[in-house]
Amino acid sequence: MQRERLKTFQVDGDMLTVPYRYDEEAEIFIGQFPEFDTEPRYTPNGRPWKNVVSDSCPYAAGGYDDCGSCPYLIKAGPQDIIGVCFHERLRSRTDPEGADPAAI
Amino acid sequence: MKYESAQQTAIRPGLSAHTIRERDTQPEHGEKASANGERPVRVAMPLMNSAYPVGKCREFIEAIPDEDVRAIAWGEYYYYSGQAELAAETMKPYEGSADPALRYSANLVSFFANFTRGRIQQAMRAFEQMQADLRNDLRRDSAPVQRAIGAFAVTASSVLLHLPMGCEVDLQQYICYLPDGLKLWACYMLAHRMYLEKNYNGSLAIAELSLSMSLRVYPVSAIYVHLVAAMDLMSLKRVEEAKRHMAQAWALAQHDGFIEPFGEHHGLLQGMIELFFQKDYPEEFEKIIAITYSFSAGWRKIHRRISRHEVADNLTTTEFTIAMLYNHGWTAKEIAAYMLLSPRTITNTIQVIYQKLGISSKRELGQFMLS
Repeated sequence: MQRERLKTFQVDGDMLTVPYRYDEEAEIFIGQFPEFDTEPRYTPNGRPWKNVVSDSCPYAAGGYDDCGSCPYLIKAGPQDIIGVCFHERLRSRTDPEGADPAAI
Repeated sequence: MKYESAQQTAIRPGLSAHTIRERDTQPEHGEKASANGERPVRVAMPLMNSAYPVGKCREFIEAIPDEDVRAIAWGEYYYYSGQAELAAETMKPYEGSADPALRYSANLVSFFANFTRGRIQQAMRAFEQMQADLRNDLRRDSAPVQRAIGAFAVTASSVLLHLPMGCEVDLQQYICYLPDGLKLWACYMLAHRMYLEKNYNGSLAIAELSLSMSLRVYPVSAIYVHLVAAMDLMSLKRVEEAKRHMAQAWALAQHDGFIEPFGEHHGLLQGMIELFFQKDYPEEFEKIIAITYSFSAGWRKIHRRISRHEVADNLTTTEFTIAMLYNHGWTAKEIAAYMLLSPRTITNTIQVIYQKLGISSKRELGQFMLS
């Protein structure tokens, strides 16, 4: 039986491939996700990838303190563990079309 | 069997149901003097209700003169010490006893013991018997103490397993009729219910007040009360105080081998079991974790059958602990510091938990944690 799979997440024009390993006890494939807090990654539109487990930022909505509960996090699938934050304030300054957080 | 109501006691000259004098003269061994002094009245859950010397539980039970009360006390002993099968076997002959104290005790212990063993049908039969007995006691207007025991037994099963009561009864209304040892355990139940309602300060107040109001130490009940206090304090992020309650619970339990209450509360204690037992008591730790798995497997079986709530049924005990802490508002860094792991390990584990449960937010996680 195949023990490792790859899954590609596609959001906001960006594609991110994540390895999944089979967990014998749980009998499911578990994704090995990058740590965006220490190694940030942005979409071509300057929007940051986030993990649903990340602590929410001051712009979060939804009444919970995690990115997963925030409506600004857009995911390719409803049960995905990663997604892209669409809050304008968090767009990268280096992106020419992105908003400058300081200017808003 | 003739029961003495607290009201009857209260009108006897110089005595009140609540006076220290009565408390001090109350015989041990799960029996209470009857109103006319002719024969002792049996009290339910004799071991839970006794202030036996810690570490001398077996000797205490052996010395109980009433053969039936002694058997019930052994059944309780087997259950608290993690021997659910023996507990269920011991209680079986008393499940249909004509004596309500014996019958309620047998069914209450059978209920918990059988569902720990995964014998859901037997467990539910015991629960339904207690519900039917209580409905009869209420309808027939039985003595308050008898209704109190019924309310005690049904509320215990209902609160701790989140099952419907099946009749309108408020334990708080009857708590004053219970003997002191059971009164203390009833306070544990009320505190537990408040904990489930997320009123941690209220629950803690009940737990601490009930302990401080006990003139004598009722080890079984006190173990449970200390554990609910530790649960509250963990939810309030007061870890050092939680550790103190945990240590007090263990001091009462250790020498009689009462590990079951710890296994039952593993998830709600939010890592306290690992912190307290894993290094210093590895043998007990293994047994407690085994109890946790069988207890939660039975819990889930009953729960799925009766309730529509979702439950986290494929997590390891460590994953469940982390999920509970995270659900209670602890950050990954705080959990990491508390469990002596790296923050990266904690976030990875939460990701694994989410994938196992098929969820992607803390909002959804709350639906699986039932607290």
